[in-house]
Amino acid sequence: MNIRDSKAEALFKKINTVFLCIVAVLCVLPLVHVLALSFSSSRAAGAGIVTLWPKEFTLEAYNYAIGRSQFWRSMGISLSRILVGLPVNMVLTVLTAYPLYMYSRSFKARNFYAWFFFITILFNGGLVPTYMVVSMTGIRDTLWALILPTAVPVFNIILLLNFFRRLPKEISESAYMDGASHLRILFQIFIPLSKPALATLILFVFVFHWNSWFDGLIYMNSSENYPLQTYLQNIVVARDFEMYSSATAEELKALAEVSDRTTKAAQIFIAAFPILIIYPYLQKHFVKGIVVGSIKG
Amino acid sequence: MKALPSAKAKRNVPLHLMLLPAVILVLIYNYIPMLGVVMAFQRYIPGRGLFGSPFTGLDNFKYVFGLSGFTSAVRNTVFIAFIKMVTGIVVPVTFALLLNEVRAKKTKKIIQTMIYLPFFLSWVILAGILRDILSPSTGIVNKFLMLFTDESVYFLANAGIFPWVIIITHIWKEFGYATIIYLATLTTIDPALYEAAMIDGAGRLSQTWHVTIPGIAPIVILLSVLSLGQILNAGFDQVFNLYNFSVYSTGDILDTFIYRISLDNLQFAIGTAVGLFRSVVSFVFVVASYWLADKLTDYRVF
Amino acid sequence: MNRKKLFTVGLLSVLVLFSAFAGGQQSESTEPVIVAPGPFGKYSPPIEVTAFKITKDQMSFQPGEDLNNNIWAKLYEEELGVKVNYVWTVADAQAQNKVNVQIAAADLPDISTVGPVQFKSLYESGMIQDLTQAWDEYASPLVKQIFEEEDGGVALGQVSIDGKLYGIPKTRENLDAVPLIYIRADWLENLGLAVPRTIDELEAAARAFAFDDPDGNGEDDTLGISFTGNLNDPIGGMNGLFMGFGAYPYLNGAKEVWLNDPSSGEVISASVQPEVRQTLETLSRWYEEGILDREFATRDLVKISELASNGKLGIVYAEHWFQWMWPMPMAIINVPEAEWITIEIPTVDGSPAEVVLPGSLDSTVYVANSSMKNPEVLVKMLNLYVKQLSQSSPDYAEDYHVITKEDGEKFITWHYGLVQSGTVGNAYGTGRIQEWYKHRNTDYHQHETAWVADMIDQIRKHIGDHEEPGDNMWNWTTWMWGNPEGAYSINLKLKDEGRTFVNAYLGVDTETMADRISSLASMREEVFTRIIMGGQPISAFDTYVQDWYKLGGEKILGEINDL
Repeated sequence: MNIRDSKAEALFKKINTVFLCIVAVLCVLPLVHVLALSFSSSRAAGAGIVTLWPKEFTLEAYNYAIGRSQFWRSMGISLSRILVGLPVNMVLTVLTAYPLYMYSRSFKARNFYAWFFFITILFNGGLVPTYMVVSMTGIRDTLWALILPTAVPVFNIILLLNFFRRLPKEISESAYMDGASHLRILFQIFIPLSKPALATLILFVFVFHWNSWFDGLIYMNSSENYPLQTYLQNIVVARDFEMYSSATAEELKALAEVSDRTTKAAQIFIAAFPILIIYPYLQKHFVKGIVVGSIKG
Repeated sequence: MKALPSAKAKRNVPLHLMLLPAVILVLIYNYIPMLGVVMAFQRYIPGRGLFGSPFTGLDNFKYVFGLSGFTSAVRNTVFIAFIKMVTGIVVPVTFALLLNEVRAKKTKKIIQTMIYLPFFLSWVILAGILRDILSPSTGIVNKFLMLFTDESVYFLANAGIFPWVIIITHIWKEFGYATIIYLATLTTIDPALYEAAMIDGAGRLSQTWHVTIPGIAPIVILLSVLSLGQILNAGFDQVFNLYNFSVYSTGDILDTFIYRISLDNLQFAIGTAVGLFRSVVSFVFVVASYWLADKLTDYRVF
Repeated sequence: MNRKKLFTVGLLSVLVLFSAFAGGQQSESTEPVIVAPGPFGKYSPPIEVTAFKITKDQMSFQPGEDLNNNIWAKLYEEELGVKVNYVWTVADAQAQNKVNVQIAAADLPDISTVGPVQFKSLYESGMIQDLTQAWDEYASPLVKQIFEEEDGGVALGQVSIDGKLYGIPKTRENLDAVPLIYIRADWLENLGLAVPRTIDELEAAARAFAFDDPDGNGEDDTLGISFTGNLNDPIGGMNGLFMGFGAYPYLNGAKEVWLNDPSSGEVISASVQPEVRQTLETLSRWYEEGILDREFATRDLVKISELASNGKLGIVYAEHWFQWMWPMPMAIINVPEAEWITIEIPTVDGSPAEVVLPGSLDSTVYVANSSMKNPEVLVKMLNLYVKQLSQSSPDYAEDYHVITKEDGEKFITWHYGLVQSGTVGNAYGTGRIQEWYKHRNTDYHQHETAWVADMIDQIRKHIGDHEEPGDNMWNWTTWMWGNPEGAYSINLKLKDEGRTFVNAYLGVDTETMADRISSLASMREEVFTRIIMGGQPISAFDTYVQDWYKLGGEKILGEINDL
């Protein structure tokens, strides 16, 4: 019985691995195609002859996006946004998730707070009122306009408080009985034990800050202060064909000199690059996990 | 042993303090703007502000609800969003479980990285690729289908198929990213439970059934409840880049519908009214499911 | 204690809120208004006006210069005594999002650059002021000549409400919108076909292109005729085909086309006329027979250009700039044997086609904030722009248009101007090129403006009487555009022969129009597409006509005819 079971298991494992590999390849093929496009000449891209390998290799698309001072400027703004925004988000997430993790019998106001935060996921005032408040609080055209309005990531907080609840209760309870302060329990017990969850949230927050572009457009007073994604959005993605319709012959030529396809393709990789770099470091934590038992004792 | 109420309240002071910064920020940047919803009941005139614009009762709602195409847009939205929601839970959970069965750490990591990559493609560029792949004359999908049938399928211009194209491509793009949460959840299951199950003679399948699935269930329930908030959100970027006139009957969603109106009519109030409608519907669904989860599984999601 | 704190925070927030939403708190200062009489009168002491700028991707500055310090900024200061302060800038691709938010928040500088829909909203909110008086008093004779006589007041009318002028319109050559056909002459020749003059001949050509292997490569890899799924695009749009049937449901940029009915003297809708039905019937037959590309519903402008530039598609309805639509310039490299020509749109009965054109407003209006003290500054800036850059101005100065450095680097300086209007060039440019063709002289650099001379250079290189080896691709595009049979020359011909007429209603959207026109348009596109693709019988058109009147069309027509 056991032997048959493990034979079936071995077969399942093989099929499972093969299946997952096929899915993984299906996920990556279009990406490889886009990568190939980004390194191909615009002629080859337009002719539709690029499949999974660059044709008529060139860096022109990358040059177009990167080869201006504004690119590096915007890159700097994006990086500072993350350097400030990520810690702000994470600190607020952790500080908020801890009291909310409590059950209402030990922290009465907890339910009120939980709904107070949760409501903001469903209801929002919309773009214009938010813009007005950002203006009124005097942070428009500063880095803070990209950070403060989204400083409290409620979705992440709810996720984290649920992870906190999965930690063995005995630890925190005994610490609490020993008179440890809340902050101490949070920082010395909860945080070390929640590395997988925190790694996940850091990834989410990183991706969020890195990919946001609309707030940069709305809150910044000068296109020179755009974060990277806002800059990239503007150079190609939303190219408006109305511009062509009323352009003079000389403007048309200037418009035509840029190929849409390869530049868009390059844009994706330029934009995703930093995320692909940090990903493996975070992945370590949420794939492997930690051995809860060893700390428990 | 029981602490006195006052002492307990005192010990809770730090908890309030910990919440304070977030409370202030949310009040300023979320709650104050929320008062903007009064716009939904006004003919909003920019120069006069929120308190100077004339109130028109439910006129904005009547106007939007009365437009031809609105009901069909809502129906399409709910259909697409609902299936996306269900598959958005089932597919990543299944993948996380399957991936969990892979013992070779390297393979596991590589697969995990690969399925997460499509998340970074934008719909603008994916739409171009999909049009090529799904083309009835030159697309690879139809070339494959032609091995079995004679008739090619015009996926993107067939009203019956279009919503499914939207759903499937959405899953393909997003499931890898969503899997991450479940992988993180799997790491929090106490290994002792597996050991105990093994001692009881449980095989892999029965371990999965009796330990893993109950272990991740709370997070699955949580994310299901939260995703109900998206019941009227079918994904603007995706549909906008893929739809065409021949699939309006099944593919036009609330956001694309409103987008087209606002191009010709700078009606801030209409957008707000539709936003409020969406929020209220989501709220009802989320509260109902929150309550259901509490009653049926005794689990408070937040 | 915590409750108290919460309460304080709450109270504070409400206070902030009230001040945030109070709106319209303009402080009225009592400073005297400085006047500077005359179209070019200088303010003394100088005044400052605020504005925002929609920046273009191609906009670059010489070292040491920027938006507030450049040739145009200096001109405004020195000539007019006006210092322009740009309080914010936004890149053009996404500019409308930003401008809409600024409008909704009622947070606009003295001078704004907006689109027609925003213009209407600003007017209704009372946020912009009447410029009628400023125009009458300050517009220079040349400006009045261009806007009131040459343009016949069309553009001014498009930004006037109840007879009052509420903005300075940016103008364009409405002739730009003439639909043409780009067709492969070498394919016609291979198949022994003449250049199509009628719809039947066009059908024959399309059928042969689709089925008779026009490129002779032995493969069934060519399409007959194709369009974009949008139906109303400037490239691959169906408007030109419809016009060949005497039907006018489409005009690029217009949600609905309005016609003058000579019998009743009233304005009627173009999309509900019987000629439209006839065109749809033809299209649906073409679709069924495979003459019309079966995949047109998912084609876009880029795809159409790709197909054409790669020798898969030989007939494209397009406006005069198709050869510049990427990757179309590659056509000459991808398929060297391809011989593209432009022809007039064929008609059902072979009679010369008549085409409908949009107004001359180029979807941009410059408006003055209602709090602005010197609204005439807009008119003066226009005077200056026209003075420096109009082809008919004796003071034309190339440096205000483009500066070419010794190393060949170009700075397009006209982008720096604030009010840019009244200087349309395509018809002028083509006219000059045609003039050159007559004599083929070589001294044109001395008496033509730089951009015309550039184009003649390119054409000379293309036709081969110039010794320097040229950049084929760009020379070809310019030649396609400007040669005596070329794209824009056909536009000029239609104009000269009086075969163009203008959309009968160009004013600001009426009330019902603003409310209903986009849902009516959606309904139209869905029904038309389904009829063409065989999803609905032609009788669906009759239902569409009824629905159109019922769902707001009737009311809109009433509003237009009452004006």
